[in-house]
Amino acid sequence: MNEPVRWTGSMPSAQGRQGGQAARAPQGTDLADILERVLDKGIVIAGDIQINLLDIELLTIKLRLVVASVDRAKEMGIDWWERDPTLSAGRSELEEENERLRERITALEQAQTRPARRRKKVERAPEPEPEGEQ
Amino acid sequence: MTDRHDHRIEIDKDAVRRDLMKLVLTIVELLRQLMERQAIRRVENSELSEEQEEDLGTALMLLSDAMDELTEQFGLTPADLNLELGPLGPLLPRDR
Amino acid sequence: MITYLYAVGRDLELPDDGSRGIDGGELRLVDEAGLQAVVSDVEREAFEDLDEHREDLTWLAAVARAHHGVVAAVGRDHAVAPLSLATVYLDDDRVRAVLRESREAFTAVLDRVEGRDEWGVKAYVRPGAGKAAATDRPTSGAAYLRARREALRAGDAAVAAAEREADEVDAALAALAVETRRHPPQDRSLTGRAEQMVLNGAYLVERAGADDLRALVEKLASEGSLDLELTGPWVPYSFAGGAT
Repeated sequence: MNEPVRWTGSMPSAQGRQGGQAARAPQGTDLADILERVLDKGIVIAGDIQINLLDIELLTIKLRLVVASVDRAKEMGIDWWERDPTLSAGRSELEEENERLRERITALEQAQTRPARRRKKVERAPEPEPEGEQ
Repeated sequence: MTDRHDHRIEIDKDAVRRDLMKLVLTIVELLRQLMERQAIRRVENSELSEEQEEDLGTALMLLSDAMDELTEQFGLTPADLNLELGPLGPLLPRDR
Repeated sequence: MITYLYAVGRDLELPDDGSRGIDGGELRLVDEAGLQAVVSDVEREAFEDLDEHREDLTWLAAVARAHHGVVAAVGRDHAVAPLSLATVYLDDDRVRAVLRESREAFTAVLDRVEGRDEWGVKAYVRPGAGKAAATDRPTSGAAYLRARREALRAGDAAVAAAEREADEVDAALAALAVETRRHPPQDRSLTGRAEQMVLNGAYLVERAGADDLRALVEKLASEGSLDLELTGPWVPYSFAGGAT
């Protein structure tokens, strides 16, 4: 049997130290708990600028999609949201940099071996060139 | 960042096949569960003869076995055969 | 630059732990009418064109965490009335005006939460509850239908029983709390747990009563059939809204 109580002690001692920084990796549950409170609760008074934040329910759905399906969908080779800015939750620049480097290496390797080989991936050309779709 | 990055297409035949299979199996599973519940309801309301009940039950049992086999064959779990419908919740009950 | 308002309190001090606000903004206190507001400067554009990224979870998560980080840091040693996310004013003078105009409302919230913390208690159906033990393969079609019917009924009954127990847990916790709120249970994929959540409660508890609450949660979990999860202490977000 599992431990009947899960203690997720959080606030003053641990979270106070974070300051404004997201010191911990974004976690679904944790972020969900925070959003549930800061979005939906707290004192609501009119600010000078009308802010229409996403309705908590819609947001939950979006979060749910991101949190729930990232791992499984990645396994299945579906990763379109990584290019969809509204769904990409926290993709680090490092990752992008890595990918760029990997692509560059692949391109270089293939240029060396067999330039005419068809590739599965339609990759970004190293130099931007005008294309019809743009 | 160029737009072209967004248009990169990765073709992984296995993944496509699995996804398609998953969708098909999800729909079949939905129909199977609907039929099963309908059958149970009709048994409860004594609308079926003993023979009909036996036939229907056997058919549903075989279909259930076939679904299990197919799901396993494609490396899926029963939980994969479900769709999140946003505010409507999941397509199928979570525990079947 | 515009002024982002995090929280309001009495005799507030800025946290001395180097906490910063949204986008690393420096925290300031705006003092008026016996109240202090914790604020920082933020880029006007970020909040004006919110349509562009209000659905951008990266942005929203960062702002939410920063907001929460500031509120939690300030609330560590002081009673605070947390503002809802993204409450912004054109300048500090406007914040002063708001402190004057809404003084009574802020004071009421501060009186309510002074010396108290919010605790969250979630209850989940324990794994395997209500699942019929694996039975032998039915030998006939009729037996199969009967078995399926029992399984469906057992599942429904288990959820109903869990919900009843959740009500009891809520009532027991409420006895220790000054006030309670029940939030809608979170979806499974959001909690990352396979088990269904049947209680998502918030309890405003005297600071001195925290140990009692912990002990009670432990007792309820060991005696009952639900898995319980305790979070907190939180700044009393759930009790800062209008009185209900």
